[in-house]
Amino acid sequence: MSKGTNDLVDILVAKLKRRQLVGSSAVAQATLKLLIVVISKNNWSKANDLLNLVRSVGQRLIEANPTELAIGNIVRRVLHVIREEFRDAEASSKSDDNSEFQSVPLTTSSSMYNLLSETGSDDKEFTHASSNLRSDIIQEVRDIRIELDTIYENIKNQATNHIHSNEIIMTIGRSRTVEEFLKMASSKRKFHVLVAETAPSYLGQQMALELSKAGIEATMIPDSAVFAVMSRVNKVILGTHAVLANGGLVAISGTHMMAAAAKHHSIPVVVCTGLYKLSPLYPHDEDSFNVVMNPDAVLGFEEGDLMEKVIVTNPYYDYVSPEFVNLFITNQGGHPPSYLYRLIVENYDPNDHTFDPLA
Amino acid sequence: MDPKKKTVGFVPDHDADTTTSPGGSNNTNTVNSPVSAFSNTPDLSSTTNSTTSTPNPAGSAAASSQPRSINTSGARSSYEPMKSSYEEQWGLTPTSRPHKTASPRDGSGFPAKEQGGLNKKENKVKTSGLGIQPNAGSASTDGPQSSNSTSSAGPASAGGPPSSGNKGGSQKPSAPSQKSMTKAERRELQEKQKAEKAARVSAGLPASGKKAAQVLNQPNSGFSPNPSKSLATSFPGAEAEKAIAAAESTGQARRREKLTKEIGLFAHLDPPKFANTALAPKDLHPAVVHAGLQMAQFKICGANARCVATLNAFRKAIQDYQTPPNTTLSRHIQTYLNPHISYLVTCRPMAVSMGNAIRYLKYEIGKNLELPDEDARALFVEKIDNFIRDRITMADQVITSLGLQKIQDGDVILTYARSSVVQGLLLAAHAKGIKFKVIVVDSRPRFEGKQLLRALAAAGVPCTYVLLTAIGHVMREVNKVILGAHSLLSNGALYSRAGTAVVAMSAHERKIPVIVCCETYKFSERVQLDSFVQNEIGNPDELVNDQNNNFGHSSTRCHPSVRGANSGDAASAAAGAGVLTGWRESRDLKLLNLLYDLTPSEFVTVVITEVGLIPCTSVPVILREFLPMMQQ
Amino acid sequence: MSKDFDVVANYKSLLLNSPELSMPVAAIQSLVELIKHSNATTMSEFMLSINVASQLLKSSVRNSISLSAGCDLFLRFVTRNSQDVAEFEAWKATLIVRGQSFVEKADACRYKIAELGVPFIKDGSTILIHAHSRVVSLLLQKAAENHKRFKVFVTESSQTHGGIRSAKVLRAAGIPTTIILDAAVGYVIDKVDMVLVGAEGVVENGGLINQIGSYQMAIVAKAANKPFYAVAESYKFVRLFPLNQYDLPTYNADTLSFQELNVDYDSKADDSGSVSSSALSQTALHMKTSEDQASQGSNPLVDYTPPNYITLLFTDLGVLTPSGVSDELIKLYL
Repeated sequence: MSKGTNDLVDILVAKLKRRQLVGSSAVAQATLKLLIVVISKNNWSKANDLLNLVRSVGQRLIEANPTELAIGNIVRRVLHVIREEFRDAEASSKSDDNSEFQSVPLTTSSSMYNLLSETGSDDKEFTHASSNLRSDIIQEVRDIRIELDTIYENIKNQATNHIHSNEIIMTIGRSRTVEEFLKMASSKRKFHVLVAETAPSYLGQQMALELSKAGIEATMIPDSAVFAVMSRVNKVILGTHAVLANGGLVAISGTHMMAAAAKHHSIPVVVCTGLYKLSPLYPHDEDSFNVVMNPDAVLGFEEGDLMEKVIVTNPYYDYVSPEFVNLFITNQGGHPPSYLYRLIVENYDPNDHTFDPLA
Repeated sequence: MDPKKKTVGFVPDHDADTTTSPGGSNNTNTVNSPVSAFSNTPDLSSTTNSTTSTPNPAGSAAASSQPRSINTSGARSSYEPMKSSYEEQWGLTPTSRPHKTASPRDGSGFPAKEQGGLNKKENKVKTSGLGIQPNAGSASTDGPQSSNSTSSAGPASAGGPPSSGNKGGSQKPSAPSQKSMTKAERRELQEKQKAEKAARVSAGLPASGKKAAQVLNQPNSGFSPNPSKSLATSFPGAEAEKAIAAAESTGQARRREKLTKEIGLFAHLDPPKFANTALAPKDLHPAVVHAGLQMAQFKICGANARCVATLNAFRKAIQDYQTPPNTTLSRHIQTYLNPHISYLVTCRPMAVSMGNAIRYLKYEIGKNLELPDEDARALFVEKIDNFIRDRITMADQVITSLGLQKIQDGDVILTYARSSVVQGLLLAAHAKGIKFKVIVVDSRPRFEGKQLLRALAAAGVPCTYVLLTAIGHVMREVNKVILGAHSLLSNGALYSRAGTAVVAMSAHERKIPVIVCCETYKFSERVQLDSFVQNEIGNPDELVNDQNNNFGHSSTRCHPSVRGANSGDAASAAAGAGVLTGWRESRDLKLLNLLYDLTPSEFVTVVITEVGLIPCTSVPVILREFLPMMQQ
Repeated sequence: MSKDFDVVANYKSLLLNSPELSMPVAAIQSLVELIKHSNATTMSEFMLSINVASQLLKSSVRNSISLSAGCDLFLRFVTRNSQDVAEFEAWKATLIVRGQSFVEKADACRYKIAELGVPFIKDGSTILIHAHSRVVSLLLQKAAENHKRFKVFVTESSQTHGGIRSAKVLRAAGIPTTIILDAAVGYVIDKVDMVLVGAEGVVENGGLINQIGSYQMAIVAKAANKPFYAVAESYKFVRLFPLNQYDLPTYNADTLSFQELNVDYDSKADDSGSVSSSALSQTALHMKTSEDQASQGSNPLVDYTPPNYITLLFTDLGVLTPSGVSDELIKLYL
């Protein structure tokens, strides 16, 4: 890797480690920006060289902040694009030669089918480098960037399809996606939003305030009242930090409670999220992607004598299992949780779920 | 609560009165607006726009003067100390309700001078001022004006009360003819209202004090619309109701709703109340007044504590009771106690436990009408003592011993907020040498679990403390959930501190047994399917976590490390202002502080009572079979 | 035609000789053998012989679900490639090569699944498994090799006693294993962190056909909110869409019917007016003998677990949700 790009990587890694750069959206943007530089400013000729280069950068970024799953997602998206481009280049060059029997399974491309068909080794397939491959790849990566830029737009434009007049909507925490979604809806519909205050971060208070400033009738409730008022709610609309491969959420603490209360009352739970938050990883452990925060927000350090006798836990995220979610609204439209696997297949290559160097 | 609050409460009364005599009060508003000269007037004008328009064409001049007086009352800060006088004023205030409305408007309108006064001392002062204004356009105004200084505020308030001619009889008609008018109106209204309502009103007024103040602020800030209406609505129910009734204008009511921070779904519930000794009728026994105040301020909290406090206060009242001529103790004592009961209701809606205890007491009184006075006194005192002993103290001991059988070595027990029974059980289990761990789940705004945490930690029980949002996170390691109850309803539902339902649901989801400890005297004949029809609304300002209002809790702190992106907001929150500090000024923002919720019976595995372990669906069986026996 | 080649005998001997071989793989291997021995000269003749052979195979065993998954997959492959055949003999040779490489790869499938599944096994967890499944055993062995510490409950599975076989394998790998009664699933479920079962077949909707008892295990797991994972190689995906238990190919009218219970209760009771103890024991005896017969003929071997009970499927195609299975099958057969 050239020194210039290496320095850039170091800078981003440092920012991530110091938590100067947080939030899925910001992290995703920064990662993508860096990867464009990495791809354009470094020498590579074989696919594997480039893949390994991107992987190594991704690995470093992820280690800098393993809870920001968006980093890995963006890296995987880029890897996927690189593979596709090489595959296209391969196919076009091959078409000049002879279309062999072997190429048939490639086009039908069923994974089960591949059991019986002979698949060429990846290494061989991905060594081909053509002159304009670099610019093609960068163009594709830029497209991802455009997608990131228009995510809020795309999601909020679906708002009126999901919110009807006089609805009572409940949400928790503060998600920019949900905020824009509701604000957009409020331009066409009149509805009421209940916001759980989301102790101890109190992001819900900010959310309620922001919504009310936008002219949406907002009522802030303490987290304890979530169950009590749920029976009158029409929809629960949630933001999330990450969506896992099984459709589970990593979302702000308290989301699980709200989603479970909604399920008890058979209230639909809608999750608004950009596709870049969709991770191909599985929650092998419910704590896999959690962060434990400073307990001071739960029990103040002023009460030191009490603090030293008890354990105070302040998890920042909740894991919400997929059966609590009824609908995902992404920048590509609405999807049931059962369809997420497909979005993962379309956006990520199964070989990229981990970033170990390729052979 | 503070006198301020009380004053606020008064304000609503005033509003109501004004509504009854709309012309005068409304006029004042309108007048005020024209009379921009008065600091109040400008504000009023803005606020009045909505309210005023309807009401008063006439006594505008008088009204205007009133608002001014209100402004003068701006000295309000002084008011706080004057609590008692304020309370009296409260009585007055009801008559002067319209004035109050005016005052809020004033606040809103008053940009410069008045705002300063109003905003700063805001509520208290304003309310007092309001009350004055409403009372009598001219006379009241005079009073307030004179009281411009802080000290004057006190007097003004005093004047207010007389003018209002309070319901309780404490009203002092300090104000001029208008005030007297209002008084008369008030009286009529009062007559209409039930004793309880009146009591509530009085309580509500003081209670509303904070809110009223806030409301006032709101008007000041921008809620210009109908101050009077807003006040009425914001103040809780009784006053609002009265005002509404008086006005009898649906339009006003609607406006009121808009102005107030009332939550539509809970409009049928009493608004939060604020303690105020001034509200109490004069002839109440001080022990009851004291207990009522403490309950209103949540210094006595919890079904058992409140019930015991009530019974002890009543016992003192019975002991000190002097039978009036031409009657006997047992025949008159109930008449004597009724206003006390009403007063307690005005302080805070009655707990189920209190209701059951009082019903029992009444039952005993009714059974022994023919006893000689001293025998009856001794009997009733004994019955009260027995009730506390048998139904609460002994019951808790039995519940503890039954509960101990369900706690084993290695248990991880989760509990929510604080229940005296649960605390006793856990401490007893620890004393017995059982090795277990407790997870205390707590929630805003009261952080009641901290008290339990302290008790357990002091005893050496290993504890973990988390907030309710982390329930999904901690529930994994839990193997038993033990909860207290405010009441168990006849359909098996558990009525308890808000948040209990979420805890029980999370446990149910993981098939963790949920144990509820509840004495049978808390069982209720009531059935309820949701948390809406019966509930209690707390003071929404408790949810604003600025530095003064977080119960000594550092809850304003955010997580800048994770949410650095929002650091701007976080910083402002951490600065002590609180994100929601100005919430009353925001037109579309409301806060709901719900005190209880209803846990469906399916989430509860077992109820431990003094009569044994029962499924919660057997509440009606206990009520049918067992309670008559207990009452023998 | 390859009349001289007995595909069924070949299939059975394959299974007998290598106990680690699963039925679909053995079926495909047998069909490959058939192609080797085939002297068909035209395409249609060739296709017919394969079709007949696979029908023969399917009808040769009582429980053909797993077997037919292999047959169908291979047939599909043959049919798909039959469109653009340039040279018949060369094509046949290719098929044979592919078939053989498939058999070799089949083993790798299990290792891939084990690799995917190991992260789901948490340290200190307790896992409930059902009967014996090679791939489940392999997964657990791999997890143990990765220094995961966990305990296993395995159901005895009274019909085949597969649980005893599983316990042997797992204990050999150093995994603490307890054999429980099939009836004790509900008793242990609260102590269990996850349920893991193998599969004979995975059907169109992502549901599962597996050794009898899986369905009730899934119901219990669902009621207790415990994850229920199925482990299956993708060659076990089968084009079936059962509506319920009685819509399986293995179902017949005799399954769990009551016709064989011909104990004459009335005559016994008449003897003494009340049922004597000796009469009772006699009755029990009768019941026992008739049940022994019944269990041979009329007790079902497999049951069907609908997809809503399945949390995830670990396959060599990745970790799939039940709807992902449907996706794969649709892609293959459409």
